[in-house]
Parts: sequence; C-alpha cells; structure tokens
Amino acid sequence: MKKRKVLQASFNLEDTFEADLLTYAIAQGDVSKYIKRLIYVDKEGFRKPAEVRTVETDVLREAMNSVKL
Amino acid sequence: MSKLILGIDAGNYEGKTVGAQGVDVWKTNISGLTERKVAEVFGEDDMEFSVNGRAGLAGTIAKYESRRKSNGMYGQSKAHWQTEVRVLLSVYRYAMKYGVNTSRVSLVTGQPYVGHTEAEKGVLKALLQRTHEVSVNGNRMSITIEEVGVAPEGVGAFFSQPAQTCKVLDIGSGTVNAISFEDYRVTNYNSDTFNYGTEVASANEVVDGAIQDTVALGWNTQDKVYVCGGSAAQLLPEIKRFYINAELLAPVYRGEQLATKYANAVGFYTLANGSFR
Repeated sequence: MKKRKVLQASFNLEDTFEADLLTYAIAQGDVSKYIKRLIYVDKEGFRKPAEVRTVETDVLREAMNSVKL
Repeated sequence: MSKLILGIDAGNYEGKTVGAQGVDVWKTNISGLTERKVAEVFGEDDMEFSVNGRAGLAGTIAKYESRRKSNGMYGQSKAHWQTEVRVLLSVYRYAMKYGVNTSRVSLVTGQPYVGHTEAEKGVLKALLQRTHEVSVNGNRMSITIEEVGVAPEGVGAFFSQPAQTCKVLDIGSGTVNAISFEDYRVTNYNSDTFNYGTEVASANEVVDGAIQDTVALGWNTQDKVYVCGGSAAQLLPEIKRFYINAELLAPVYRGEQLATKYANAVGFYTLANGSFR
C-alpha cells in the first residue's frame, strides 16, 4: 500500500492573481511543507491579525469628512 | 432592497474592488472588439463585453488581442470612458463572484490627486451615476449606480490604515501620488501627483523620480513614508535607502491585513461606508 498521497494544484500564469500566488508560494521554500502549514493554520482557525493603529472614532470621522468626495 | 456599497480602484493595470462580501482583482486591459480567427483561452478574467453599447475585450485577453502596446489611458485624470468601462466591469465581476444584487449601488472610486478637481469629479460622476446595461460573455446585467464619490488616490490608501502624521507614496502603473498628512488631514502644499508609473517608466526611473520630486516638495529623509501600490514591495528597498523610515502600507480589511496593492480600494470602501451607509 502506498504511504504517500500527492495532491496537485494548477496555476494560470496569464492570471496576475494566480501568478502572484505561485511566485509567493515558491519563495517560501519547501512548497509541500508550506501548504501543509497553511492547511493546519486554516483548520485550526488562525488568522494573521492586522496590526491596527488605533484612532479615536470621532477623529477619524472628522478626517474622513474633510475629504470632499 | 439593501444597497451594495463598494470601493473601486479602477487602475490601468489592475482593478481592485472591496465590499462587505470580500475583495476582487482583475487585469484591466481593454481593447476594441476584433474578430479572432483562433479562439484561445487566456485568463479567468477574460471578458467580451458590451457596456452601454460600447463593445470590446477586457482582462488578460485584451493584452494579446490588441495591436497597441499600451492598453491604458495613463495620465492625471480618470474622467474618461475607460474608467466607466472598468468600474462597470468591476461591479459586474463582484456581483457574479458574491451573488449580490446590482439594482442599488453606491461606490467610491479614485482620481489622481492633482486631477481631483470639481470639474473632473463632475465628469466622472456624470459618466457613472445612472443605470447601465452591461453584457459580459453573453450574460446581461443591469447596474444602477445611485451614489458616486470620487476620492484622491493616495488619500484613499491612507484611510485603509490611518496614521496621525505621515506621507503616503502611492505608486501606480501610470502615476505616483505623493500625499502628506498632518493630524489626519491632507496638507496640500507638500502633496502632488507625478506623471510616471511602473508601466510607463523603469523601476529605477520611478524610484529616482519619486525621491527627487518629493524632496522638491519638502519631504525629509526621516519622514514616516508609507508606500503602497502593486510594485511597492519590490521598490521599497530602494526607497528605504533615502526614506529610511519607509514601510509598506498594510491595508486593514475586516481585522485582517491585505496586500498593499489593495490600499486605495480598502480606503475607498471605508470612505464609501462613511458617506453612503
């Protein structure tokens, strides 16, 4: 009995979004390990939390109102 | 029927759309409709479209089916038909992707900082604010845009992750917007748009030009400069040789960090939510 199962993913090189993903994935080194780590992170529900600079709501509201759309 | 609120960055290279449901990106080449003798399959963003009677090809396919080298009207204003087509195709794609209704759309889109005048905004709003008939690959959709806001590029990016006092260097494919902020407000005397970008000049020309032209505006080597745009990550190391505190502008969307190329679209969406909700 085979001890390993190989999964495939194809990337459309004419699609900038997919080509970007492929370039990024390759840059991570061992793609197989990288994908397994991604699956683990997704399965466990982790997300990369954004580092948010805190701004008081009314300060932000005033700043947004100063932009004439 | 609830409104569909969107931020749309209708760039000459890529179009980015942000709404409550998620984000979308597509290659914004546009060319006239030509009869193709060999029908090849290009990208998932290929669109044979008709927008208000104007027919053409858009997406990756347009890059290969056009006789011209450039497919964009690069410059200091987006108040022209290509923006109308790009915005409508962006709405169409978003509606198809997320299964949302397009009978009541409110959106904020962008204009280069120097082109953000009442006259140019008026032209763009007149093009967009009505009911449009869109057909893509034979599928028809009616899109009614009820409200349109036009924000300056770079200023939009700022609102994707605001900082009290900083500079934003928004490097696009056709223009670079250099915007200064003090106490969360734009200071006009040291903000400008430069007429070059990564699709019309080399990376070195763009970086050298942006540094020289921002120094001429009075920017300082110590300033906190946030860099955004599709090529920002590649250009950042060179920019940091002069602006030593420069870093990528990381847009925050639903508590998560998106790639910097979404900065303007996320900011436009933030502004749209503030104005139209």
